[in-house]
Amino acid sequence: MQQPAANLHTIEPQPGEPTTEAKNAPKKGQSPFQMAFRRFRKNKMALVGIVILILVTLLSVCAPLIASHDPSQADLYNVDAKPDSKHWLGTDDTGRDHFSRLVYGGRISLLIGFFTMLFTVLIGVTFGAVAGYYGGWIDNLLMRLTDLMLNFPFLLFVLFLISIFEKTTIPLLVSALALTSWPTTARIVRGVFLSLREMEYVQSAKAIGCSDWRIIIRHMLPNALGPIIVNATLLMATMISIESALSFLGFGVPEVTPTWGNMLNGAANIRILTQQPWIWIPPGAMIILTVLAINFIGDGLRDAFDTKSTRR
Amino acid sequence: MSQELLQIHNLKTYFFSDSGKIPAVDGITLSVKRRETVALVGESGCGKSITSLSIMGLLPESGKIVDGEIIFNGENLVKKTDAEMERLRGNEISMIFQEPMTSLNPVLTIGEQIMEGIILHRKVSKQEARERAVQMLKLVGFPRAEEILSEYPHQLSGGMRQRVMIAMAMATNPKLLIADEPTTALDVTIQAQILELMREVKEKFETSILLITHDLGVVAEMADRVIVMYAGKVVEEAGVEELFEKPSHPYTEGLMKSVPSLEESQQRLYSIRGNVPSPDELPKGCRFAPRCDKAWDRCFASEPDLKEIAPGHAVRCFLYQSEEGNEPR
Repeated sequence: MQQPAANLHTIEPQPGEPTTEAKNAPKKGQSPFQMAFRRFRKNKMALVGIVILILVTLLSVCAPLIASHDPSQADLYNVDAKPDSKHWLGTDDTGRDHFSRLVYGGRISLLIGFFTMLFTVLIGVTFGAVAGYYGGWIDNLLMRLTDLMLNFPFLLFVLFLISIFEKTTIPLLVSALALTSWPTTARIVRGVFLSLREMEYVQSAKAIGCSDWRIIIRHMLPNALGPIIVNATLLMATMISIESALSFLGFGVPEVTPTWGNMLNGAANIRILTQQPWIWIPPGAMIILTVLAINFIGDGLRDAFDTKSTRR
Repeated sequence: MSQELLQIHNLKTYFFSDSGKIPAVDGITLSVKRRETVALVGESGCGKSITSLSIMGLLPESGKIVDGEIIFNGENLVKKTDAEMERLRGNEISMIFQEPMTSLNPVLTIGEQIMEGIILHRKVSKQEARERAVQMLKLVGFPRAEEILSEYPHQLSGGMRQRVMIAMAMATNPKLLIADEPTTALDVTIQAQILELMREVKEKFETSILLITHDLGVVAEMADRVIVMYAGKVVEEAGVEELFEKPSHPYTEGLMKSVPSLEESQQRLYSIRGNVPSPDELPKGCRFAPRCDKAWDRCFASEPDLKEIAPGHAVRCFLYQSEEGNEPR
């Protein structure tokens, strides 16, 4: 007869046990963006990516402080030097300090990557939003143009521009890249807008008398921002590698201005590849590191914005 | 100023698709007086919502008003330009939608959404709009209105969101409120609260309401007059008491019988047999005839007109229209 009483006692709460979990309750007034960034912060890979990207950016921005030499100053008495205390990564075949070129090279790569991404997104979002919102013949027209541009021989276009302007400049390269890469973004944005258009809050915005532009910019664009940001991030990574590839092929920025791509270009012979690894490994590693970092960030953003695909 | 706020004459809204034209709304005539609540009743697909979207000028691209006029406050809305309609929407005519869960933009705060209409249509500062929004939120029953302003829709329940929708719709003091199934998506207990709120708001702002619903309980609760639609046409129109006492069209009778009752115990709930015909394959003659228990030859041969059988009570049915040698059974 004693046993039931003993059982009853166990029901009473243990003194050490936490009674409420009120601290975990979501805070008031959190916008969907704030919630997305909270999820983002939990993604370790993405945070590593952010740290690397910040470091690379800092390195490029502070290049004048970090670099030990003028990156375009040739020193013909000291060509192909091995790394030493004066030239940390040696010198190239015209005697320019390789470390300084590496530090400055990030500037051009990041700059081109960023601005190409910016213009690509601007064009792509505008086309995609208008096509997706209005539909009908406008959509048809814009999407056929998109298809056309999607199949446009991008490399030929760049070669064509270079032969016209004789010299590749950064603005030229940015416009050439942006003008040929917006179609993918436009398609993504169009898809998002097509589905957003059917949302009841768009109908409800119309019902309170919003104009088309107001609906597109204020009501639909913020809802499409998740996919756009993800696309923009991955686009920047792609642009950095395309810039490097172009420079490597010799179609990029003129050789005087250092970029990671044309540093690799300078290393494109068997003697350097086999005997001077310090010439090509650092710029190659920088490209891979930056592109990987941005891709990690992009993946993190996608998981943060798209709650449906979150892997737990 | 005329008594009638909204008059729709012979409105025909057709949809045009590859398979031809689809008459979703086929010549309806109705009117809403000032401060009156008119219920538009019918099954899904009978053209209720298309009627309301026609009034708002928010028809989907494939839909077009092919005939008729919508006179609102003395002006024909059918002839208005897009820009003129934009100024009218949310200002003179507001609309509440069925789904409170998805009718608010998830990325904008409640305050931003209520203030938007006020700023669009009234020349007021942001501060004044904000005060108006707080005032409206208090009116629809949020004691902590200031806090709600900076909250996002996902933080509110369905009933609260529908209150916000009402605050949004009424913030500009519109003359006409179109409520498209405002309570269908809500819990029964919340439904009663929202209906009560709509009645209060209507009294306070002296607004007319065009209530679109298929819920006869809501009709009895809210409406002054009822218009029953079937397959794009008005089949019966009457004052609310008259309609519930003497439902005359067989379709209306059917609708009434389909409502579960507490008084009588039924083995099985009555339902009108068949489905609403798709608007692109309408039957010849009376559109309800194939589903009607009382139909006879004449119903399949020609279509009856809307005839007044008592003051303010009109029915589109041959049962009430005698013809020589063909008396109703």
